[in-house]
Amino acid sequence: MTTLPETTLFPVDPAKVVKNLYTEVERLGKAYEMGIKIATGKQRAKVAQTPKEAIWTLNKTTLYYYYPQAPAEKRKRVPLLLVFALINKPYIFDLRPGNSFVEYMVQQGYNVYLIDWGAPGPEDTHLTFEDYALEYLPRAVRRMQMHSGQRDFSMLGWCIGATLAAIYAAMRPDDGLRNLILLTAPIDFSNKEAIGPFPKWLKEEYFNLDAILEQTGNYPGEMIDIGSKLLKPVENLIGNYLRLLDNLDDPKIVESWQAMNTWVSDGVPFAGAAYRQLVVDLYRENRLMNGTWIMRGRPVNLGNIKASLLNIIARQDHIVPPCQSETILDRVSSTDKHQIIMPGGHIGIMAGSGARRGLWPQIDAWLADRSI
Amino acid sequence: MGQKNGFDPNDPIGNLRKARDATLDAWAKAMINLVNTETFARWIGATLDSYLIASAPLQNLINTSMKTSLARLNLPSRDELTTLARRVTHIEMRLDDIEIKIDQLMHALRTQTPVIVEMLTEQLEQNRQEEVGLNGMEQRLAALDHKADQMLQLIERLQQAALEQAEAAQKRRKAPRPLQPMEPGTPTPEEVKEDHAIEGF
Repeated sequence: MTTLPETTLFPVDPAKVVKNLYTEVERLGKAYEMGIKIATGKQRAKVAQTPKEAIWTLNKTTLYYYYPQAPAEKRKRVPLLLVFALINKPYIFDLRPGNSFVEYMVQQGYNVYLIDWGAPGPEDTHLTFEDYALEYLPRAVRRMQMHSGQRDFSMLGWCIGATLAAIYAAMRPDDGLRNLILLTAPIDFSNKEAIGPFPKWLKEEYFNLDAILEQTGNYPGEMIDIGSKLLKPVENLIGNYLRLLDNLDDPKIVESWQAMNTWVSDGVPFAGAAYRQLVVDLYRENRLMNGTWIMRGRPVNLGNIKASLLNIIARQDHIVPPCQSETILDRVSSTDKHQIIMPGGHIGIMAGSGARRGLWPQIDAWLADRSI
Repeated sequence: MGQKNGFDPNDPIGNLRKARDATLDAWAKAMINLVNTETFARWIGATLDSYLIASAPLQNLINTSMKTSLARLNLPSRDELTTLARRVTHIEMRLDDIEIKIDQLMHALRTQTPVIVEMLTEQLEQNRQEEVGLNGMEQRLAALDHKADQMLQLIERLQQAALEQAEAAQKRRKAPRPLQPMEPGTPTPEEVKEDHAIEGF
């Protein structure tokens, strides 16, 4: 006579079921309390908390200087300039205390500067990549050089900020740029299939760019937000909120979620002329990589980049897939060039909770020797 | 215990959550594939077009009425303000250039001041030494006179040496050739060469 395992005969332990249900009810109680706080606005994420000072402004652009926190003997000579994209706001670099790249780098002894492009208004519809990379950025660099007393500097560009940084480095290689860090940089738009849905959505036959810009002037931040969310619709529009619901009883997770959600929802318009360039010159015609993008009467030649280069790629990036960033290494003239491929997504590698132990120390390790 | 593939019979809520997550995962993958199709691209383009077509008349109406209202109230229109804002930005840029130039000048003054002061002091000292009454001028004239004497002596010595050389050459020849008279004061090629060599004295 064979005997079945007890677990198969009596799989359910009522005591455990009751205990699990009780735990869930208890969790729901806490979650309800937190949910009310969030809904009524009593629970807000504190973002961009690292002490800073605005040292320069031009139109909507502001250059911030973060107060040093490291002792004088630990400070690095070469200042670091952070350049974020024209989409969303740059406080993702300084998301929240304990999870802030700026705070980390300041503690490591860097003189950190950050460019905030601001939100373009109706008077800024004519601004192009050329204006940002060759008018505003050089002025900000000049101000930083005066402020820091150093000609040499490092620049870290993220997303379209990295594209701007690459243009700057290619067009003004003798300005003192010593180290260039490109983070998930959209540079190469040749592999339309691997890039994901954007090249399809932005095709001339589907996407009526002229009509949109004629009506809106600048490309609205809400449209950019929807576009990004539609890349992963279920995750972004449902899964994201379920994750919050499941963790409403954990203040740490709620705080982290709120900070990220605040940033994601805090979009800015994309200057009309620059958006046209993004769609036509980059997504459709891949002009930067082809060397046919003309700025100030001459082509932007990535081969002019000679600064030390660190290229960082996020393996699971669905906004800027690795194929868009990795090919730049073959184009630049830099003799000192390195590439890091990190597990994670477009934002997660830099602003996720694992960044403090993952990417940031690697950036610091690479930059420290080159900032003396 | 009692768990298979993450299923726990004692945790009904947990199981529901897992089932929900599995369903969402499946939907997520399906939707990612869907949005990456030409059909979706066409649909999203058409949706956007419809939105633009639907909203354009309303927006035009608002713009026109707003412009009229502002004009009646003697207030600047949006276009005028936009133009003004652009001009302000241009002025800001020029101010930025001026500001940076002033900063550079200030910086140069701060760092170069000791050098400039030293140069000025040296120059003043030199002037002072040279302008002690008429003595300075006399001293400089005396120095020039002395240099001219030295030059004359040198020329005389050179002429003497040239004559001696010519005489010696004549003696060495078996059939002496008639002396080629030279224009007085015309230097021989050797002399010219030597003159060039001592020009610096």
